[in-house]
Formats: sequence, structure tokens, C-alpha cells
Amino acid sequence: MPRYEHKRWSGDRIREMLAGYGYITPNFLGFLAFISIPIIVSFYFAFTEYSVLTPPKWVGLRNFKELLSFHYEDVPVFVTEKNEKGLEVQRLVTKSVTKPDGAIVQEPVTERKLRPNDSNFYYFTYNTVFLLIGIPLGITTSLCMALIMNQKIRGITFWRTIYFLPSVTAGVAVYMLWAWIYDPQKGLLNQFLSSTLGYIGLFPKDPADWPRWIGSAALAKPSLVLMGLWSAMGGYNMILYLAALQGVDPQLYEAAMIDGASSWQKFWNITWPLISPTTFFILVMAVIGGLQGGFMQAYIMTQGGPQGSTTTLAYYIFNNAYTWFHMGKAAAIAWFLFAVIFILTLLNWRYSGRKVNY
Amino acid sequence: MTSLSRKELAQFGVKRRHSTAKRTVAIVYGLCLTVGVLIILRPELVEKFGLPLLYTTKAQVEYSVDDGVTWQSATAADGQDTFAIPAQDGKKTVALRARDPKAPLRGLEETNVTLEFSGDSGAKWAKCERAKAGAVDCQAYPAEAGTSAMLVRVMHEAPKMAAVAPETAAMTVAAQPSDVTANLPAAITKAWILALLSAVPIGLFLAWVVLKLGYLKSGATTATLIFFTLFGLTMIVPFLWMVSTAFKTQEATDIYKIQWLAYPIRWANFYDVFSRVPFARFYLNTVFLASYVTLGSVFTSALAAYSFARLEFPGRDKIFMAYLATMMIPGAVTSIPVFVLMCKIGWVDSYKAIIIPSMFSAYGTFMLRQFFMTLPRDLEDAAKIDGCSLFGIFWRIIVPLSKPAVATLTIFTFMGEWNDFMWPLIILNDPNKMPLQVGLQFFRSAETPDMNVLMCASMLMIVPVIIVFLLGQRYFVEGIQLGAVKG
Repeated sequence: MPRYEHKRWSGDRIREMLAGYGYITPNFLGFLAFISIPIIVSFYFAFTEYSVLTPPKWVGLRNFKELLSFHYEDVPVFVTEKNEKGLEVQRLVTKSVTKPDGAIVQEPVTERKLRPNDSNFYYFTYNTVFLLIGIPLGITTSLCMALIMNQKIRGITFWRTIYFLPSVTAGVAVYMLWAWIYDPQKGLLNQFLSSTLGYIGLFPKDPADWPRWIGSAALAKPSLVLMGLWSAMGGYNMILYLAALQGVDPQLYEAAMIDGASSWQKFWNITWPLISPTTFFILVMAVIGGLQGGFMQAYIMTQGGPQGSTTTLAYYIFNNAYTWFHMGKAAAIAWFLFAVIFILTLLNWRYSGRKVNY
Repeated sequence: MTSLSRKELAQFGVKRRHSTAKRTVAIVYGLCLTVGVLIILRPELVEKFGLPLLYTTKAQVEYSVDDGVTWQSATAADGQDTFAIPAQDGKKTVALRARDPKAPLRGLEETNVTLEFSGDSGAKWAKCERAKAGAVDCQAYPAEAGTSAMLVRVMHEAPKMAAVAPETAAMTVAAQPSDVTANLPAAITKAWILALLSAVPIGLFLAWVVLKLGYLKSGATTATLIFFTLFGLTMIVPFLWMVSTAFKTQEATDIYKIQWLAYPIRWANFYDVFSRVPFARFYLNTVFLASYVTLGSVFTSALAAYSFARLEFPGRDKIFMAYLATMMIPGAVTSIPVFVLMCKIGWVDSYKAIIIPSMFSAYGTFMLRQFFMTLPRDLEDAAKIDGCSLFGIFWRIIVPLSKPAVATLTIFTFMGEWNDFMWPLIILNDPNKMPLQVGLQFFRSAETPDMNVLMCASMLMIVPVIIVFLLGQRYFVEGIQLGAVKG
């Protein structure tokens, strides 16, 4: 800085330097011990087999191979047929093979298939990505909410408080509440549906046939998305959008009005381009957060089930590290996650960068 | 100066503030809300409060040892629906009936209880047969009726109108007041009038508020109001469900029907929350951990941020870039080695392991540094000339000037720590050290957790968060706009 150029080694300068180092020391030591050094150590762990009790053993790329690579496997072939009762059953396809000693035996027909080494891992990655579909929905609703709230109407604070409650209270309590709402028989959701849709015959009469929401493999993920929407719709994103909308120059709208633009034209040609940095920021943050998310929902509401359908990468890392003590594998997944986040962020910057107006 | 009446004003061409149409819309809106609530709750009000809304169902069991000539009240024993009847020497049978003290208004046809009796202190229960439609009278033949005391309990069930008198016994039928049915319609009407009378003023008040705030100025604002209301209801209904469950009895959570009213209210849920698990202890732990982490984190972050923003020293910008670079790394990456470190230095299962790693936030440092950069330097230069030390400048000038940013960071760190779940879950084993978020798990350890107690605990857990939010809402909103929230 030019201000200090003339007295490069003066007493003041040295005192300031010492103070500068001194003031960052507490934070910097913590930063070293709990953030930066662990990052390096974690990278090392990703190439080892480590269960805390025994020292880490270097295994090279094995953890990554176990997670990511494929192998060929001879899989028996099944055909689906109808049995005498009309139910679909799977039958093993066999063929007759003549042995060298002349005996004819039935052997299953197999076919060579490419299988992932850890099929769970790809499934859990799919789960994690599936849960991201809430993001565009959430962004759209947040924007709608913000557009509506951006009118000159009194009592906005009151409404904002209400809409914000779900995101403020996020935590175990809210997940437990939703687990209770999704309860197949006694939960609010099914009872509400049966007392509304049930009247017009669109909902099964028998409680045993009611959807099991987080208890069924097919509905568990959509249920979690729905819950996420509930908590995110009126939350942080809405407030970010509200701030962005208030930053749009009103003169632009006036000019558009004089030119006779419709409300949709005003939105599409003025508002949307001008708030695109906010959209971009929200999108990037939501994707980064979403890829690391799903741990609490899985741990509290579903234990990752049913049949692993709600296990996300974060929950898989947790289980590997702290349930089974496969620290090496857990670190490898964590770094995989980081790589995905890093690539997505780069792509985001590269491709959205062109369309975003700053 | 005298004020003019509305008529006089109209003569001068002064219009009323709100047109009749707007008033009508407002009143419809207000009444829809309050009367709608009344209609939604109607089945429950009918069932639980015995239709006239104002009366409660509380059956009183009476018994007769002289074939229904005189009736005596049984004493309530052990729970509100179980009654004890003292031993009757020499008598083989005892007649029983359940009576509602408010029966004349409720109408006996609505009585939906059955009686069960037990001669062996509650080991086995036998059902009383109904003698007559509606009336719950019966004669009990406990094996030991003559010699030992008998227990009677009231079972709340749907009415069984077609009860058949057993052939073997001469039934004792209590005479019921005959004018009950005659009084019933009047009582119902009275009750509904009362209910509407309480709903209508609230509805009108809402209508007044809506008009006053100008929500009905134009079609767009009216649509906004409706949208806001529907959306607000979506946000709030799950919480209402939580509150409703928190006050219910275990049986009331077990039915396959929406029940919004907790009836009977079970205050013992609160007692259960604190007695089944060390809930008070969890609470204190959370407050303790969250306060320490917040204090430590905000202080070290502010100090480092000041240093990054204002002081000159070699390598400053490089270190700051390192801080920035780590912010993109997932928490899962660092938590594994930190956990291993905690194992190695023996901090597992201690508060230290939670407080100390959380005290150094790259994020807080970044955010405060950005804010400090925007402050004007003039004050600092003046203070420097007056001989203020560097720490003095930080403490007396920078911190007071950046109160909004510091407050924001404080609130967010506190709330983040209050809701922190994973790290305490990993580190702590001792139930007595656990914070609320982890401790709440203990309610679920049972096969079928009592949802009423669990919801009660959850409710107690989110109340402080809501209070902090309401108090610091301004900082919340500003903080979000500063970009203070991750993800």
C-alpha cells in the first residue's frame, strides 16, 4: 500500500505487522488444525485403508476403484412367465450340456454383464441427484413469492415471518414432525387426503392401502423433496430475490410501460435478466448444499431406507466413517463429492456466466 | 367544530372510504377463515364436547345394590375413567350405569360409552351388556361381587344402538329423564349460536384489518391476499399439527382420523418429556455449547477479519485466499481427520471436541472482512493520531460500527449451533453431555415412540429458535442479503 511506502521498516510498520499476525493467530491456528491440515490428511486417507484402531495402510487407488469402476460378471438369465394362477413368476433359463463323460445335465444360461463394483454407490449418487429436483421447483416458487411480496402492501413483515418459520426451525424437531405427518395411518397427510380425495373416490378407503410415503421405496424420495419444498419455499431464497427485485431500477418499468409492454414482457425482458445474478447465486449455492445434503433426513426419518432409497452420499459417508469405520473409503467418497461440486461450479461459472447479466 | 355524519358527508360528494363491494369481500374473507375453522372442527366439537360445544364428556359411574331403586356414585380410582365400588356383603349382583352430569343437555342417545367391570382388581375385564339403546346400564355378576371391591371402567366407543338384554339376568334399567330428547334441539341451536357469535366478531375483525391495510385496493392485491393466506396456511398447518399432538393423550394420537383438538388435554406430556430423558440437561447442554461456540467464533473471526481488512503484513492476501479456497470443500472432507484427531488426543465424548473445532470459522472471517472493508478509514486515522492502540481501534471503533454484521453473524452462528446435529452425534456417547438435537433421539429408541411426548419435546425445542428469530428478524433479513448464509 502506498500509504506506508516511505517508512518500510519503521516502528509503526513493524508493530502493525506483529499485531496483524497476532490477531489472525487464534483463528489461523484453528484454521490450520481443523480445516486446512485435515483437508490434506483427508486426501491422504482417501488412498489408504484405515479403521482408526490400526495405522492407515496405503492402498493406492483401490478405494476409488471399489467405488467407481465396473467389472464383468456372469449373471444367470431369468425370464418372466405367467404361472397357472396367472401370477408373474421368474424362471431360471437352463440349457442342456453334455459333459465329457456323456451325461447330460441342465445348467443355467448365463450372460456376461457389466456390473459396478459397488452398486450401492451409484444408487446413492442417483438418490442424491434425484433430491436435487426440488431445487428448480423451490427457486421458481421462491421467485413467485418474492414477486408477489414485492408489491407496496402493508403487513409484509407479518407474512414474511410466517413464511420464514419453516426454514428457521430446520432441525431434528422438524424432521420428526414430518416423519409424523407422513405416518401411513395416523399421519396428517394421509388423513387429510382420505377426508378430501376420499370423498370423491380418489383415495383408497382401507387404511392398509394408503400410501406409505417415506415408508415406501417409490415415494420416499418425492416425499423428502416435498418436505424440502415446504421448508425452502419461503426461506432464504425468497428474501434474496426480494432484495434483488427491490434493486431493480423503477425507471425501467416506467419506460416499458410507456412503450406499452405487458406485465409478462416486463418480467421477461427487465426483471428476469436483472435478477439473473441472484438466480445464479441461489442455484450454485443450492446445488452445492444439495449434493452434500440429505444426511439428517436419512438419519432421522428413514435410516436411509426403505431399501436404501433415501441414502444420499452424505449419509453413505457417515455410515462408512462412523458406523463401519472405513475411514479410507469415506474419505474417498467425500473427495468424489468435492470433485463433483468443483466440476459443477466450474461449469456453472462457464456456461451461466454468459447469460448472467452483472 | 362539529363532525359531520356520513349522510351529510355524502351530500358534499365525499365518498365512503371503502365501497360496499370491498366491504363485502372483506367480510366474506374474514368469515370464511373463522367459520371455516369452525366447520373443519365441527365433527370434533360434536364428538368431544358433546355437540353443544360447551360441555365436556365425563361419565360418572353409579351403582345400585337394590335393583335400581337408589343409585350411589362410585368413587373415581386410578385414572379418570376407572371407578371403584366397595365390597357389598351379601349382595350377589350390582347394577351399573354411566351418567353424564351434563346429560340433560347432551341427550342420552348420544352417549357413546360402554362399561367394563372387573372383580379381580383389574386383571380381567368383562363387558357390561347394554340394557337399552343409548343408556349404559347393566347388571354385573362378578364372581366375587359379594365379597370384594369391584372396579368399573368407562370405555369410549361408538354407540351400539342394538344391544340385546341377556336372557339369563333380570336387568336393572335406570329411569332416565324423559324430557332429554325434547331439550336437545334447543340446546344444539343454543350452542351453535354461541359458537357463531364467537367466530363472527373475529371474522369481522379480520375483515376490518384487511380493509385497513389496503389489501382490497385492486384485483391484484386481493389475489395477493388470497395467495398469501393459502400459502401461509400451508406453512403453519404442520406446526399446528405439532402443537395439537403435543397436548394429546397417547390414545388420541392412535386414531385413524384427523383430530385437531387435543381432548382431553394431557399436561403430563410436559412432565414426561423431562422425566423420560434428561431433557433439562439436554437444554442446558445446548445453551452452553451454542453460547461458547458463538462467543468464541464471533470473537476470533472478528479479530482475524480486522487484521485481514486493515492491517498490513506480508502474506496477508495469500492467507486470505487460502481461507476462501477452503470454503468450497464439503464438511465431510474435514470431519473425518478431525474425528481421528479427537480420538488420538482423547477428546472424544467431551465438550472440548465440539466447541473448539467449531470456534474457527473461515466463513465468519470472510463475511466480517467484507463488511469491515466497507467502513470509512477516517475515524481510525483520527483515533491513531490520538494515540489509540490497534486493539483499541478494533474494539472501540470497528466493532461498534459493524454492529449489524456482528449481530447477524452472532445470530446465524447461534442458530446453526443450536441446530447442529451431526458433529455432536459423532463425538458424544454420554447421554448426559448431549445437546437437544441428539438427545431427542432417545424418544425414538422405543419401538413405537409416543408421538405426543415426542411432539411435545419437539415443540419445546423450536420455541427458543422462533423467539430468537422474532427478536432478531431484522438482522436475519439483512444477513441473508449480505450473503451471510451458506447454501
